Amino acid sequence: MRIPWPFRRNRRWVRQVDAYVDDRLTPVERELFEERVAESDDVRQALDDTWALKQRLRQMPQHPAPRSFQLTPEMVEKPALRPVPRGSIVTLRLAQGTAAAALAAFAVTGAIHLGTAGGEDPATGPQPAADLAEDSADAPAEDAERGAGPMAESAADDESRAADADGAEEQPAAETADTGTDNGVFLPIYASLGAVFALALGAWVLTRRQIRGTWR
Amino acid sequence: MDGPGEQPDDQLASLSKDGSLDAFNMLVERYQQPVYNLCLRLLGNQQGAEDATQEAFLSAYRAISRFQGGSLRSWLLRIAANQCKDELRRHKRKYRAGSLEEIFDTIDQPVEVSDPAESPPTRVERAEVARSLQDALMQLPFYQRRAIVLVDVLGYPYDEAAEMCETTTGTIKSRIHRAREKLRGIVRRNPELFGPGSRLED
Repeated sequence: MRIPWPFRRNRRWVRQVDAYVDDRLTPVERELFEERVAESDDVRQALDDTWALKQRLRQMPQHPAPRSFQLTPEMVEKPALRPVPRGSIVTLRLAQGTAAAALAAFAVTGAIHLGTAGGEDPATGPQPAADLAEDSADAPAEDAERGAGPMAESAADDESRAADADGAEEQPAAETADTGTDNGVFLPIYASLGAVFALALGAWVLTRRQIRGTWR
Repeated sequence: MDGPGEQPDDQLASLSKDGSLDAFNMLVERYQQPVYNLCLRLLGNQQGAEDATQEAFLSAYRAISRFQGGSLRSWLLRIAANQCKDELRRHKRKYRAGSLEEIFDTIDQPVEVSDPAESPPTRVERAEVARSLQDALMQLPFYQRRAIVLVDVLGYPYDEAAEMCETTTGTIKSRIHRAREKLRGIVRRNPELFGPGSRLED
């Protein structure tokens, strides 16, 4: 704690107040200190405060022991004085079970999610869009091959490029939409299981700490 | 022949090391008051102090084989102070300063002061001051509180307090100096603690 500003000039003497009050100064130091006390109001104030504080602390009541603290053979044999409350054990087991169940459900959900995404037949999922793109690309090319002339050929090339571009854009869009649907289903499940796991883990840690505190 | 009450500490400690619970319980009877008062001033809570005192004696009994001689009182008070430190660490919220008003009401009741000749108003005033001082003590860090309780409240000399705290006398002096500074600051903000004529005269 900072010494209040009036005492800073007399810091050396204020530090000696404790030693003076506790009678730890040599006769010479004591005489010098008393001279300083006579000259300085700050040092005298610090001395008065310390005397008063020491006296008040010494007067704090000493209480008789409220009961006998003698040890009994049972107390000495048992590892702890206070038993663990039954509720704590139940809470601990419940939290353990819930955390384990949440973890297992998380794993199962993950496996189902991966199985759904990885095992999908490429011909049945987003394929129609790709087929459509392929068809639309092929059709004008066939027209051009039938000999419609340079203009027609050029138009066919343009259409083919456009169709290619459309197909290229359409396919990823279809895949994105598909993945988005999967995430839309699984994300809340993951979040819920994660929250349940975290809560159960928290309850387990707190209960375990409480039990340790009881048994220590 | 000496009665069991007059047996020296060393002898009772030796018997306790051999497994005599009766001998150890004589030591408990001898020292339960200072141990309880130390716990009470360190924790500021009657129930907590009782629990800590009981635990301290149990720990002491289990560790009596490691007692190397010297002052048994210092050894017991050291164990009790460590027990209080553990208790405070485990239940920080319970012993937080400022949340103990109802608890202080029960530990420094006017009826428990030692001098029965004291007039009731003086008794009430002293109890009030003790209550406020206990509140102020609870605002100190544990190591400073332990030092000032041992020296200023319970009246042990510096060297014995140092032994109880497993530190040097210089460290104890330093802790007490800082604790008194803080307490002076707290008391200055609550001047009702310092009545007129409270300065001790040489």
